[in-house]
Amino acid sequence: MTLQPENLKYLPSHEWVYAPQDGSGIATIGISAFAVAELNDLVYMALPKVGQQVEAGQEFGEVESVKAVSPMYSPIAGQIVEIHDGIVDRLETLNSDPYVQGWLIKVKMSDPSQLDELLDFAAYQKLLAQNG
Amino acid sequence: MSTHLRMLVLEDSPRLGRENMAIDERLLNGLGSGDLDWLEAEDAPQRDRLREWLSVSDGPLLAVRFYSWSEPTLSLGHFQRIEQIGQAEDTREHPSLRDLAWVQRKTGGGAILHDRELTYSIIVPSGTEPLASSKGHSELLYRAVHQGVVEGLRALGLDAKLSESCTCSPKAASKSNEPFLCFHRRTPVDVVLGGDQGQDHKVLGSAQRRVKTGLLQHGSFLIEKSLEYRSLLGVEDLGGRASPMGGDDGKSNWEDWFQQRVFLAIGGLLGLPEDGFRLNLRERSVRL
Repeated sequence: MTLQPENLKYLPSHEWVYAPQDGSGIATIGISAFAVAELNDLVYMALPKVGQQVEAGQEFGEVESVKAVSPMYSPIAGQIVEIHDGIVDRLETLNSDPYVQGWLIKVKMSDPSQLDELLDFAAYQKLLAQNG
Repeated sequence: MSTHLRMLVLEDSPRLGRENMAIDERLLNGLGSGDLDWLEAEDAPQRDRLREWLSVSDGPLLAVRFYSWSEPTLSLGHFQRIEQIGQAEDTREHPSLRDLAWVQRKTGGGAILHDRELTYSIIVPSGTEPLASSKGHSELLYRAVHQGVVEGLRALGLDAKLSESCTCSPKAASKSNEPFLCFHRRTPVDVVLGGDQGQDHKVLGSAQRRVKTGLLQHGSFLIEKSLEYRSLLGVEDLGGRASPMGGDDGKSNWEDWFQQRVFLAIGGLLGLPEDGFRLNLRERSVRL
């Protein structure tokens, strides 16, 4: 399984998580192409520090665009083991590739069963269609 | 029971910056769940009328708040730092700004000097069409309020328009060149008065925060230049008469005028079926 939109799980608030079944228990998290398009003009982003705990559905960072600040929510719970170095200074990367090059944090999952509660690609596409 | 969107109008007394920001945040986080007990009522009849008004409908609540500041205060955009005053081109020659009270906003954009201006906030519960989204700004709300003010100013004979220009840049290299003060920045929906692009004066700017429970938009309408920073002109400095509604009391006259423009704008945008409930916080304490 590779990091492609079809292989990701999603929150309705447009964060994605990639959790390969490689035994590591480490998931990669970012925001979807739809979210980047909605945000329109990313200006600032704040990300947490390595070692911090995140909870499913709770904020892990914030992003500013067009004078609006929006939280970003973690799809799963766990401990942050890596932050995408320098990404906050290269936010244009998210416009060109919000998945492979535009990932934000990596988390050691504390409860991988939470992945089952997220939207798969088809369900996420359906949500986007409903939202017009 | 009706399920129409309803409007709660809060008129407030001058407060410290941290109180003003805490009230907006509390409204944003709690309005959707009906968390209003913290708006302590000293006036029993008004409290009873509010309870009655809340009880007759299940409709979601929208709040509009008009407020001011008990001392000249800088409110910084969420990602700004106070030390940037000494670095930014528009503020580094004005070190006295560092002596002012300041507070960090939860919304984005540049710093605002709240002195001779009017501040407003609008809190819209999540899921309210046509503003529903879970990420980013609502240009509809920016545009509705700002266009409403433009039309009102033009009716007063002033050369008002939306800026239609932008100083913002997503490029990291350009961030350090951005003006520190909101009223030196331009986004396309800012309200400007007089002159061509580059010569105009911004008199209304707004910013937003969107969370799970809703959307907050607050902004500032400049009435007169501040003695703390004289180069940013307000609507009266730029030819607006002191009493846009007639009468003698200029400040409250602009307050009444501005409130009417905001009500007209959001009423038109959201199809509000009624005037809403007006709660005067002037004589109240607020438990935060």
